[in-house]
Amino acid sequence: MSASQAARGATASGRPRDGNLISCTNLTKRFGSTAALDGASLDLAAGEVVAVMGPSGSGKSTLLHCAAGILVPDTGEVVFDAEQIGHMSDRRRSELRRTEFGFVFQFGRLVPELSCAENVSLPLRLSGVGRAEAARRADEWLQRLEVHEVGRSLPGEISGGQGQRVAVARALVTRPRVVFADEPTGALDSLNGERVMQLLTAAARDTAAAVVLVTHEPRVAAYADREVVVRDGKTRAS
Amino acid sequence: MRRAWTELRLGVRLAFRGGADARWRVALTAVGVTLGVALLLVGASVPNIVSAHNARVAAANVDAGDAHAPLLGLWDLTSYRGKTVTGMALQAVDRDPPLPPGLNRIPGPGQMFVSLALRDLLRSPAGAELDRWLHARIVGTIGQSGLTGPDDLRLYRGASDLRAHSPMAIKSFGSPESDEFSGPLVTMLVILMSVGLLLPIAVFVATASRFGSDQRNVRLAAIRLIGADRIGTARIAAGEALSGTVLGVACGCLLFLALRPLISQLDIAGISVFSSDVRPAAWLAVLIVLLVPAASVALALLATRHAAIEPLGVSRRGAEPRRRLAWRLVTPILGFLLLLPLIGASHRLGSTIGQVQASAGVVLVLVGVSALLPWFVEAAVRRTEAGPLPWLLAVRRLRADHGTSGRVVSAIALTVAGAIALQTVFNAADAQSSTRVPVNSTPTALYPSGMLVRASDPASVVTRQLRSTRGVEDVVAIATNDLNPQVPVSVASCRNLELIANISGCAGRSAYIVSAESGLRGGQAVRVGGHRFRVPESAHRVASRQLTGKLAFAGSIPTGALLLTPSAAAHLGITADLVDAGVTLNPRVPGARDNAITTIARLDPLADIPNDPTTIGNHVLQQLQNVLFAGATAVLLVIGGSLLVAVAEQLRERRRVLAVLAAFGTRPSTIAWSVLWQNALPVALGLTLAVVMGVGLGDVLMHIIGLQASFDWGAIALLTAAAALVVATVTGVTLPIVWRQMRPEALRVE
Repeated sequence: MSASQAARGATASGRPRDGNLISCTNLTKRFGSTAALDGASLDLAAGEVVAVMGPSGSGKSTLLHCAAGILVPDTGEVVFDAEQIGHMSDRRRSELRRTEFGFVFQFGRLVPELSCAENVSLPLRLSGVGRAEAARRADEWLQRLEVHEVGRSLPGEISGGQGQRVAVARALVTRPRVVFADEPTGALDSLNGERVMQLLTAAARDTAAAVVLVTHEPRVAAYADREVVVRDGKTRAS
Repeated sequence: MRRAWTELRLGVRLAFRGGADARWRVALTAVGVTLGVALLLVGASVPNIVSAHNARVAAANVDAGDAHAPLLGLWDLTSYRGKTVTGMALQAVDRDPPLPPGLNRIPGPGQMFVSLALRDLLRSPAGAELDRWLHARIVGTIGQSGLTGPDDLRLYRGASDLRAHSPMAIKSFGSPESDEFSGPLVTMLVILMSVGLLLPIAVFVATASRFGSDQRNVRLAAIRLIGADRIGTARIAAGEALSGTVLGVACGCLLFLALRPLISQLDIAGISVFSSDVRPAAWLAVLIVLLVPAASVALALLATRHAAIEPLGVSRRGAEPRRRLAWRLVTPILGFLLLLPLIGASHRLGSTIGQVQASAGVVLVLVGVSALLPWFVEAAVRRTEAGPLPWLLAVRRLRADHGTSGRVVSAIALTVAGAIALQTVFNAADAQSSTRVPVNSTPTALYPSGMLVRASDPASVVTRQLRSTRGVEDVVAIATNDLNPQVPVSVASCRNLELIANISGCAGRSAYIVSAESGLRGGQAVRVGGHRFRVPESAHRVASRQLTGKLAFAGSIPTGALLLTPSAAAHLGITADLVDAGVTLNPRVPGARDNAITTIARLDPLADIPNDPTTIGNHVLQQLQNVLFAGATAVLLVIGGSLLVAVAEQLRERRRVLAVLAAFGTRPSTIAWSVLWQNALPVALGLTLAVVMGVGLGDVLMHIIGLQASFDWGAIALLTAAAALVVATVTGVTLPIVWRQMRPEALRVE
């Protein structure tokens, strides 16, 4: 347990003592005969960075998807800001993802036909921000993530590290309250991975965004305030 | 060699055993190629269908003989409820007369041989009226060799009094060739239809053989990683491409064989073909069976050439290179350069070189539509930046890759351009032919002629019987002596004679000579047929009237004609038993026209009754126009199907991007609108280009065959709207796929 973790005083189940922004309780999720989650729980406080660790196939990505309202768990509940996500309509969950959450995926998953700047401004435009204002804010975030020079390039024309930084800028441009990052450095070399993590956590702390970080690399998990380990669909604090 | 074979087999194995996705792509390609090959084989059968049709028409043509010919015949065309019944009255004058094709003997008086289609019609309630008109007993059916198609309504009936109708003397049946489908106009139309309808199918087959090429490239990159070289990878790609295509070619051949009997059941406004005539030209069939797989291999190799397949994955350039206009203009310009020298030289279309020149010109112009469209779309989307998010996504997607849907839209544009060019030529040809065909019948009038009525006063008999027919308002009937007389004689009542000439005081045995300049005079001895008599001394010279309205049937009364009352004719011993009549019908009485024809048929079954005015027109042009619309509809439907498959395939390939967008909270309507714009924009641009090129091509073709420029904008709008409707329908049908692909659960596959 890191010093910051100790300072925040996590419980044995990984639950912080107070101020939960997201609470996932006893989640189960099956895909056919496979139990991806089997009573997993996760709590997240505002501004907190939590690393979800575990081996491949342990259910950590499924836990992230349930927490983000991408998947609806079979049983258990996910509460965001005192509102049950499982009871929300698909439209409301989409709105939540658009306005309150940001996402970073392993391979960036930028829209290939849009330029990097347009990719970053995409969430803003989805929220109804005008084209010029969205472009200005996207430009700001590209500078902050040190990839201003690739703004006009297409995703296919830039390196993996640059692409991942663009993806981080896209996740943070709407100033979300939670950023979900699924193996954000999985496709990068260690140097690029380190830089992306530094920029992601620094930017998140600047904007007071909480981060759920799915990873199997201890080096990456070290950037988190605390760690939750998922094994066979169950969670435990490390 | 063995290695090459192994690599080809590996490609085939990858196609069939690469999981559900791979099988899905093979199935898509096979379905597309199946439809395309079946249509191509139908198209390749057109030359045989046309030549078989010509041979059948030629077989039924008569070879006229002299006065000693053993058979007399009279064409007997009847228009019945919009259908044409082709008949011939026959009278043997020798013990060994020639037989029409499909008959084993000449029918006797009151008997007839009919086609199976006519027999079925006559036995049905719908043919009851026609049965009354024909008024003869069916004694047999006409064999297939005597018919142009299974729906041919044809009959041969026996007669005993044909000489009175000026029949043909028939030496034999069958002429070397039929001229029904010939001439520069028809040649041009057949060229246009073949090219205009087959080219889009070829484009479609090429498109179908490239379904799923992106995924294939990813697989090939994995194979490169384990040591395959470029040539080996190309062979594996060829094997994969061949799997779906060869399967499609085999299924296409089977589908064609299954469609053949159905084709014989189709009757597109008078066109029907025997299934035995639907045979593709051997060289064309071989070409299709060999060329389609070869083309798919070539396209697969071309696709792998555009994407650099490296061991660590498919590397593509981020932005597509800009398309160049210059070489894309070469094809249409070359096409017009080939066509322009034919203006004013339509006779050259009769030669093989001329036909090849015209075909090549049309092909190049139409291919030019396909060549220009990608540049046109790119030029348009490069200039469109601003707009709402769905528009931006669509425009950027189009800018990045026109892809499969762009190629399919090319096929739609090509079809519409060809169909517009054809429609333009049809319109001009129709306008020309309608001025040539005399409209000798109107919905409220009927002008039967040549009614042979053996009676002392035939005109009165005809008048009386027709007047007592329900729906007939008025009748003017005049009897004549012969169809080609030395001295024309017209016999009618005083009332009717006063209508056709400036006569006053007509009574009893009055006689008149038309025109003062006539050499005929009172007291002159004349011979009419075998009868000799003297023109009455009292015969007055009179001027004929301008005959219009209900008298239009009589034409102009010739100079030197003798006009007689029935009493005068009887007194002189003149027989005038061929009656022409003008019948005024009451439009408010249903079936008035049918009733009048029934009465006329009772008076003389061989009377000449002009066509129903609604069916007057150029038969061949109508047939070709029907084929055009049927063909264009079939092609658009098939291409619509392929567009659907292409869009579905594209959505499948983009499901991760769509899932990411969904994870961000993108509204489904945003994506739906972007898909709509993505389909609609190339289609709108394609149709604009198609209209411009189609009208331009049509204009040049009209000049070639010497017709006045005439555009049927309504028909052009209809064709364009039909194509737009196909695209709108495809977009609507793909929306459920959009909703499904937008489920963020799809992220799980990462």
